[in-house]
Amino acid sequence: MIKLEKISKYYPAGFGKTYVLRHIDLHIKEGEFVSIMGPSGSGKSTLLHILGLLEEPSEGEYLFLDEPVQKLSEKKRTELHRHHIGFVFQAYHLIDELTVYENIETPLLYKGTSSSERKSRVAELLDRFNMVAKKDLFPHQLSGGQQQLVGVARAIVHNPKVIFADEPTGNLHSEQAIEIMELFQKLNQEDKVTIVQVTHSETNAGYGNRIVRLKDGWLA
Amino acid sequence: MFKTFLKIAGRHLWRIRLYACINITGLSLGMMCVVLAALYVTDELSFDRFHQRNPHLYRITSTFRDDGKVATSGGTGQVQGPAFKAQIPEVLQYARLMGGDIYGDVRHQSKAFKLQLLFVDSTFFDIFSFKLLRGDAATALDNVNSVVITERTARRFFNRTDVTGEVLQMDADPSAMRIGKPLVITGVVADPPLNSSIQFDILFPFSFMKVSFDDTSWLNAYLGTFVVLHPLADVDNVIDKFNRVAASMSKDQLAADRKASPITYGLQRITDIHFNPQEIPNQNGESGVVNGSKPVYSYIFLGIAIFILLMASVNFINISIACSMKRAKEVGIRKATGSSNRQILTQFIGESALSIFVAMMLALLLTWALLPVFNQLSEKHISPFRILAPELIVWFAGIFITNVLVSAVYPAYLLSALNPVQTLYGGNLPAAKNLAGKTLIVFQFAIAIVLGIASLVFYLQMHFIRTRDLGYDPAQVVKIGIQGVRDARQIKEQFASELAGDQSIGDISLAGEFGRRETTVNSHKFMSYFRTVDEHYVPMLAMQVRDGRNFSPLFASDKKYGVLVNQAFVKEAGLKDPIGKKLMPDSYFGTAGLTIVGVLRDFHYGSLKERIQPIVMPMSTQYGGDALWVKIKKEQQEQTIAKLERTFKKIVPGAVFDYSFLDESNAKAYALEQRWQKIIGYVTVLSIIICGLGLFGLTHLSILHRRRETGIRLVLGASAFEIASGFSVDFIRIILIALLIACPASSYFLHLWLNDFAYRTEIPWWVFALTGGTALAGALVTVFAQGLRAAGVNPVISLRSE
Repeated sequence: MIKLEKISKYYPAGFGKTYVLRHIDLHIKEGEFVSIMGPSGSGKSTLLHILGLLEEPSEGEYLFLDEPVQKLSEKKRTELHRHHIGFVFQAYHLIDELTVYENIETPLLYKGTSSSERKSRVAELLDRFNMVAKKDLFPHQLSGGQQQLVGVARAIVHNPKVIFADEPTGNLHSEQAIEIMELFQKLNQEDKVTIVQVTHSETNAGYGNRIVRLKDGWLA
Repeated sequence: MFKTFLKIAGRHLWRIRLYACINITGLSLGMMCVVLAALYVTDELSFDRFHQRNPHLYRITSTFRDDGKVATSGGTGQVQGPAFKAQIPEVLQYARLMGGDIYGDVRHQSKAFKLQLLFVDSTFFDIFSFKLLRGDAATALDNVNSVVITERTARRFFNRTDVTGEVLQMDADPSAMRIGKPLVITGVVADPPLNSSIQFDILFPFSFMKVSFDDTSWLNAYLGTFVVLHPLADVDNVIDKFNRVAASMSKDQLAADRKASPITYGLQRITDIHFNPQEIPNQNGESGVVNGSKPVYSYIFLGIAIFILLMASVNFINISIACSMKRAKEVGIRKATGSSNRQILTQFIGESALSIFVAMMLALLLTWALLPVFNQLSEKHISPFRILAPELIVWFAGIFITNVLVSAVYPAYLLSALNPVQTLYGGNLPAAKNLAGKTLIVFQFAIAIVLGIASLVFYLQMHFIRTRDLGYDPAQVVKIGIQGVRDARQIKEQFASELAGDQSIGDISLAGEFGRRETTVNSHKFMSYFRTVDEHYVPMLAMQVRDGRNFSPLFASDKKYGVLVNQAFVKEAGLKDPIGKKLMPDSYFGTAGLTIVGVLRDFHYGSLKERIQPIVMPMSTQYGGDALWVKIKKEQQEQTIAKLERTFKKIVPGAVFDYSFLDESNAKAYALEQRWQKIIGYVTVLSIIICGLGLFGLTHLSILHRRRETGIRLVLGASAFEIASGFSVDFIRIILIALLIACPASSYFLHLWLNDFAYRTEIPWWVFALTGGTALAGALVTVFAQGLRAAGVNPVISLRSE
C-alpha cells in the first residue's frame, strides 16, 4: 500500500544541505499497525508528513496505493486526502469555531457525502465513542482526552485506508493514553484500518505489530 | 458546505467581534463616502436631462475677441434668435430666456413676495419640458400682461393652485407701470426640477420685458437664446450659417462702434450647460441659467471618497490578516482533512464578503442618516429615496464587488497559501514581515497628514479673512433693498424723519451700486467701481478720511459735483494732490465731471479674493441709490428690525422688506470656501478615525507575532517600558516616512488654493510641525499602550502557548 524508495529530505543550509531523512526504503502493507520511533530530531515527524502527503521528499520515490505521489497534481493529492487518509495530531488540532459534531463532520463535507449519510455516520461515531451528550460542545469545553477522541473520530469518519498519527498520546496522561491506544488497536484489528504512528513510548509501540526505528535520518 | 461556512464565519466574527466592529465601522464610513459621492455625481449628471427635445436642443453661445483675449459666453442679445429662425431653415424654433439673478416684488392684495423672474418667449413650453398644471401651453404667454407662476408661488399667494384668472401687481416695475394693467395668471407650472439649470418663480412673456427694454444691438450678450434644430441638421453647418447671417446683419452696428469686434457664434447642448455655464463675470446673471457647476467638483468628491475608502480597505486588509493568523491552524487542519486551496480561498473571501456586505448595508444606513448634512455641505437637495434608484443600485453593487476584490482577496490568498506543516507545528508565518501592510499604512498616514495640514491652513485662511481689518466696520449695519422704479431719495428722507430720535438706531444712509464704469482722469481711462453714498455713510462704517473731508450739507456743490474716492483710485489715476481734482465719469453722472472732495483709506469693497479696486463715490442725494443702510444698536436687535420693517412698509406699501446684515452678506462671498473648510474638516476627522483603527490593527498583528519574543525578552529581564519602546520604533519610522511624503505634497496643493486669494496668510512652519507631532504622538500612544499590555502578559503563558 505504501512504498518508499530511497526517500531523502534535506533543507538548504549555507552552501550545503542539512539532511533530515536519508535513503529511506519502507514498505507498509494494508492492515499493518506501524510505530515510528527514534530520538528527538531523528526525522520521525518529517517521515510521517511525507507519508501523509503534507510534505514532499527532496529525492526518491513514493508510491501510495501504487501511484507515484511526486507526479500527482495538487488536485489529485487533495483527492487522496479526502478519500484515503486520516490524521491524528499530538495537539488534537480541532477547529475552535466548530462543535464536536461539526468537527467530526468536516472531512465528509469535503468528500461531498450526502447530508443524510453524514448524519448517520457522525451519529454512529458519536455513539461508538460515547460522546453523544457532548456533540454540541466546543473543543475548549472538553478535556484533552475527549478532544483527542474527537480527533480520532474525525480521522476515521470518512473511512480512510490509513491513519497517520503524530504522537497521538503525547499530550495525554496515561489513562487517557491507554484509551486512545486501545481504540487504535481496535480500529486496526476490527476495521482493518492501516495505522502509522510516531511515538516515543515503547508501551504505545507495543499496541502495533511493527516498529520502524530512525536515527539521524537513517533507518536503523 | 455553504451552511457550515456561514456558521464558521458567524462564529469567527463573533469571536473577534472587537476587530470585526473596527473593520466594519471603518469600511462602512469609507463606503458611505463613496455612496455620497455617487449620489453627488449622479445628481450632477442628471441636470437638464428631462427635456424631451434634448437631442436637438441647444443654446447659442457668443465668442468675443478683445485685444487678443478670447472669451465665450452663454449670452446673446435680443435679435439673434428671431433673425436666425427667419433665415436658417434648420432652426425649427427658438426661445429667449432672460433671468436667473433677476428678482422683483410681486403683490397680491396685501401679500408681497420677492420672486425670481424669468422673461421667456411664448415657445417656452414647447421647447422645454416644464409641466403646465393649469392653463393652455399654446396661449399662456401670448398677452403682454399674462404670467405663469409655479405651484409653490401659487401656494404662497393663494394657498391653492387653481388660480388661473387671478391677478397680481408689480408696483414699481417699469414695464408693469407702462402697461398700466394688472398681471393676469394664465397658467400654473410645476416647480422646476431641482436638477434644472433653468429656475424661476414666475414666467413673464418676453414682450412684457420689451415694453421697457427693447434692444436691437447685435453686439450685446446677456440673455440666453435656446434653439431646436432639425433632427437632420449638421451642427457645424448651422454655426456657419449663424456667423454669415450675423456678419451681414451686424455690419452697420460694427462700423458705428469702433471699440466693438465681431462676435462669432456657437451651439452648446443644454445638457452641457450645468458643467460649463459659460458665465462671464459682470454679466449680472441674466442668461436664464443658474446652478452652474464644474466637473472638477465631481472629481474632487469622488477622489476624496475613494481615498477614504482605500484607507478603510487598508485597515480591512491589515486587520483581516492580523486576525486570520490565528486561524492558520484551521487552514492546516482543513488541508489535512481534504480541503483544496481553492475551497479555503473561497471560504475566506466569502467570510470577508460577509463583513463587507454588512458594512455596505451600514454605509447605506449612514448615508440615509447623514444625507441632510451632506446636502448642506454640497448645496444639493438629494432625497434619501434616491438611494433606491436603479442606477444607484448598480453603483452600490460596483462598490461592493470592488471592495471584495481589493480587501478580501489578498488576506484570503495569504491564508490559503499557508503550508499545513508550518501552521500545525508552529513555524514562522510568512505574513509576519508584512511589508505590504506597512507600505499601506505609510500611504494611509500620508493622506491623513495632508488632510490635517489642509484643515489647519483652511482654518488659518478663513481666520485671516474674518479678522482682517476691512478698512471699515460692518458690525450692526443692516441693508434694506429698494426695488424697482421708486424714488429712493424720497423714501430715505421719510424713513430718516420717521425714525429720527430713536435711541436704538444710529446713522441712516442711502447707497447704490452702479457697477464698473469707465472713468477718465487727465485723459487716462480706466475702470472704477461706482457706489453712491451720502454724508452719513463714512461715519456709519467708521471709514477713515485720509485726505480732504467727508461730504457735508454745508457744501452745496457736493450734491451734484462732489465725489469721494479711495487710495487705489488716486494711485491708478496717478494724482499727486487729489483734492479738488476733476474726474470724468460716464454720462449717467453728468457731463460736467466730478470733483474729488475726500480720499478714503483703502477698504475691501469686494471679497479678499480680489485686489482693492479704484472706487468712485458720488452722492446718492443726487444720483439715487438702491438700498438703505442703517446702523442699529446691538441691544434688542429683533425689536429694532421689526420697527424698521413697520416703518419701511408704511412708507412703501406693498413692497417686500428685504434686509440683510452687512457682515453676513460679506461672509457670503466665502460661502464656497467655508463649505470646503467644513468638508475638509469632516474628511480629516474621518481619516484620523480610520488611521487610528488601522494602526491599532497593525500593532495588534505585530504584537501577536512577537508574543514569543516578548516572553523570552521578559524572562531575560527586559522592562515593560523597553518592550513597548521596541514595538514603537517601527511605527515612528512609518510616520516619519509619511511626513516626508505629506509635507511637500500638501504645501504644493495648498499654495495652489491660496493663490485664489489676493490677500492670504502664509503657511507657517508650525502647521507641519503640529500636524506631524500630533500624528506621531497619537500613534505612539496607540502602539505604546498595546506594547505595555503585551509586556504585562505572564511569559509563562506566552511561551507555553507556542
